Amino acid sequence: MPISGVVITTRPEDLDQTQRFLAACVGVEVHGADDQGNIVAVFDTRTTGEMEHLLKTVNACPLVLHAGITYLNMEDVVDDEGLNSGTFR
Amino acid sequence: MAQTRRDFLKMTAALSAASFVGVQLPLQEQQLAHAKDAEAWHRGTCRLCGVGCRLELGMKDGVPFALRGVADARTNYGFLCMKGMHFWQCLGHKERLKKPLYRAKKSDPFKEISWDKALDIAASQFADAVKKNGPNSVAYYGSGQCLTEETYLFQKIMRGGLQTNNVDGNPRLCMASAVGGYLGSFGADEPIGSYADLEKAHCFFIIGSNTAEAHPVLFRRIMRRKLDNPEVKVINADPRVSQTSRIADKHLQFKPGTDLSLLNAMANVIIEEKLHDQAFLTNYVAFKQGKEGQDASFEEYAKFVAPYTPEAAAKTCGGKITAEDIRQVARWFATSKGTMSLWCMGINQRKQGVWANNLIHNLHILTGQLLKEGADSFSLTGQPNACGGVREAGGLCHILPGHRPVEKEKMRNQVEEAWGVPLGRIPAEPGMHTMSMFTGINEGKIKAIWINCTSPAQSLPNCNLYNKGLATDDCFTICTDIFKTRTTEFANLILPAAFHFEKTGVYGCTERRQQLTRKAVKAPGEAKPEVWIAREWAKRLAAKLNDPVIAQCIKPFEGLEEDFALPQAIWDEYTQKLTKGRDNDLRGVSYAVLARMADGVQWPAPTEEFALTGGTAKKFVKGIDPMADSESKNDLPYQFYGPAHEDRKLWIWLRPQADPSEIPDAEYPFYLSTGRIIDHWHTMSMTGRIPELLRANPHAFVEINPKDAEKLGIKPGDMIEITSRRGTNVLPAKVYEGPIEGTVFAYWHDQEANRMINKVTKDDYDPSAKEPEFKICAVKIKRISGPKPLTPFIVS
Amino acid sequence: MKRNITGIAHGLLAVVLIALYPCLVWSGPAKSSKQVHPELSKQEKYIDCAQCHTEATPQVHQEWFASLHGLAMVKCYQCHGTFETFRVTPTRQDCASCHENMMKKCPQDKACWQCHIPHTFKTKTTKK
Repeated sequence: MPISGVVITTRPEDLDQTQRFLAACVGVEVHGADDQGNIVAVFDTRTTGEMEHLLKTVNACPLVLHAGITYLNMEDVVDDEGLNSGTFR
Repeated sequence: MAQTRRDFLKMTAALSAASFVGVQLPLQEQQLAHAKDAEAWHRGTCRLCGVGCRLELGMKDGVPFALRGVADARTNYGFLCMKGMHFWQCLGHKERLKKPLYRAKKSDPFKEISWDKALDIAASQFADAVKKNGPNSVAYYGSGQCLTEETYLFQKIMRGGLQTNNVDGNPRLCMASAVGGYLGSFGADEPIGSYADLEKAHCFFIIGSNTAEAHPVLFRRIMRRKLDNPEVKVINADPRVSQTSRIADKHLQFKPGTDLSLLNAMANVIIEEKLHDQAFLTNYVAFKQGKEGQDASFEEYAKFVAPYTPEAAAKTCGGKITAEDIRQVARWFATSKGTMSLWCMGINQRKQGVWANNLIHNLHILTGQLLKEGADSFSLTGQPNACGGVREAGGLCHILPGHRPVEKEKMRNQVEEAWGVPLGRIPAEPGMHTMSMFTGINEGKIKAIWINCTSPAQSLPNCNLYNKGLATDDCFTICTDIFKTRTTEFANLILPAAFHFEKTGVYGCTERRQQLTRKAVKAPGEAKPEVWIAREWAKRLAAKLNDPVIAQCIKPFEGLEEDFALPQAIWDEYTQKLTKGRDNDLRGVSYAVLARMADGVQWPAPTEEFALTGGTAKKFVKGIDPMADSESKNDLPYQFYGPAHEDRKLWIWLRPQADPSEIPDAEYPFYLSTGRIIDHWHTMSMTGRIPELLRANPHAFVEINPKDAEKLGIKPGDMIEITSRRGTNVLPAKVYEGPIEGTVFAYWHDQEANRMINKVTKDDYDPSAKEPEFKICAVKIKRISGPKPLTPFIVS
Repeated sequence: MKRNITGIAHGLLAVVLIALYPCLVWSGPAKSSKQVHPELSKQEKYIDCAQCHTEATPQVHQEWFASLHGLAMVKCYQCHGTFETFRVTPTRQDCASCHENMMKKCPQDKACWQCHIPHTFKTKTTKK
């Protein structure tokens, strides 16, 4: 059950639209933004695979200049069925 | 709220990211814990089209971000079309009207004014007009998109307060012929069956409807039925091959306006081959003819349709269909285990609209394809509340709430008593219907008009003619809307209204289903719900005209909070006092019941106990419809208790083929027909502001048959001038095997001055329904240049 | 707290580091590492997706046209968004607009497209 802190950079004029886009992404919580176009978000997914996919999805959005993880927490991995069964190897 | 360990981790994550870029997070621990729960989904119905899809508005931290269907909804089973998916973008859109705007003269620029001043001006203008020129010099022009509570309150103030029946609405332009057809054939307005019949039908007869684009979610249900059961027959009859035809077993392509022949020829085959249901005819049916509805007999009917042989009709229809095609579809229609007809504007928007409706009903009555599972004669509605608000709650000039004809004194008195106004207060004469209302403006008879939630400057046929009157300063024009439109360009006063999900109220969709949508979002700026606007306006009218009866009209609603209590009180008055014993009995459908019934309730539903079962899926059938039992006069299982047929029978009408108002000639050699495309809705004031929808169809086209295009040297994308006796458009050509040869087809949503096709359409109308013939007129077409880059246009 | 980072997560960690890198040195709007849609002018953005893709990706268009989505007129932008919100791979939320119930019924650990083949939407049969 990874949780990560993410900085998403967009053009300042695209800030509103980007926030709307992020709001529509499951697992993304927007926590703040500044007028430079930096958005602070938390990604909360079930598996590392989903985390990777989510980061790719956000990065693929043309509004997003860049999205990067600044913090990653990876606990509860032993409880994760997907990982235990090796699905994500 | 207790903070969990995960919340703590999330806060850590957020703070780490924030410190990375130096963003100051405004939130503290409690807010962070809250953020996790802040995603909320609010129940409601779709704002666009008449299907009534149930959906949920997704909000995150108080901001709308998505709409999704609800899987167990009986209307849409979770599916939404693109319009239903995207209309949340109108909530909080940056171009929303946020403050009242006023100008004394239509040539002046608008100035922002306060609500107090705006309502004062609105009341003064109406009061002065009534004092100087009498009650019939003012008018209310409403919409099938208004909530039932809004339509009801406005018409109450107009009729009971100002003493005029000049109350009409845009459903006149789309549904009036269906109303006439249902009353004439079944004695009661609105369909007998439900969407649930779609999954039981064995034969679909889709005529004059591009269901795939105008009602995509219903089309999906039909498509699913056909794909899962290939033996189910789908007949699509239309001058244009459309997306809907993709699932058809047979497409009958006929020349515009010849479908009355086709329908009579199908009746001819049914009688000729003895496929009619004699027992049904004996028990339930009478035959009528002529303007006054003189009695006729089955034999006379058979004799009447005899000349409409399949061979003759095939010829009339323009040679694209054969006599054998007509025989084949007539057999499918008559012999299937359940046949469902579906139609829309191709039938209604016609000079012979009521007749065309009657002729479809004839086929169902003749074959008994009614009242049983999967069989119905089902008119599709284009707006979300044309049925619930305008048809049922008194939104047309000749109908009072509860399907009461205004010219009947007993009916008027019932309404006057319910409102506590003096008997005789409501005038006996029906008011001006839409076309006479706007003619009245041209002639200087209407001095003040309130246009609510619709854009006649673009949606009236031959709109150039009527916009001349709207442009003058002789008629003070008030518009309530959420965005600027072609019509607000002619306004003196623009009042910003709350949008769907920004106010509370009921929508009644095509299948008599009433559903409640509650306020979930605050309206932007100073936008207000129309029920508040109407009440506050009436308060000032009462003072200015010094008339206590006007005050009486809004007395039950004084002081109520406008987001819930006010619409609830209006709904309660309408349903409890004015639907008792009427065929749309809604007494069981309280807000409390609607809150519990996620799918809403279908009328009649006289008691709460019954409403909590979901209401009546099939009218007139004993054991299903409680009114069929309570109104029963004999042992027969079907009871036709509707208000219009005293003999309680279904009527088969002897209606001949009759030409449209205008047919092509040497000067104007083409038919023009118009219609909708899937991405846009009405005059695109909403859909045109949603980037996804706008880009999918940024401007209108004119569709031309490849054979015609070749003759005229027209290539795809070429700019075409299209001219009728009334006006001209310049549109890019889409060369496509869609419209039948000799016919061109244009979309009507475009707001751009040269692409507003209603400048070209004809304003002649059905003599009884007064619904104009948008669908057929004569035009000439000329290529003027090769392709040109076109930009979309939205009034701002 | 981070004791459970295992070998499985190393791949992700690498992604994190790579992802962080341009953030630190980023200086312009170029997105060279991504597969991007050709730049379009404002006017070109008024061309319906399907119109270009009939020629640009004829197979995808044909698969879509013949699918249930094609028949029911579920268009490109309903899943992929428009230019500002474009995503090559639709999110679960995109599917949930109409298929919300399947979000619970379908396997939680897979993306929708892993079972429902994009554009044809035929279901991959799972072996028992």
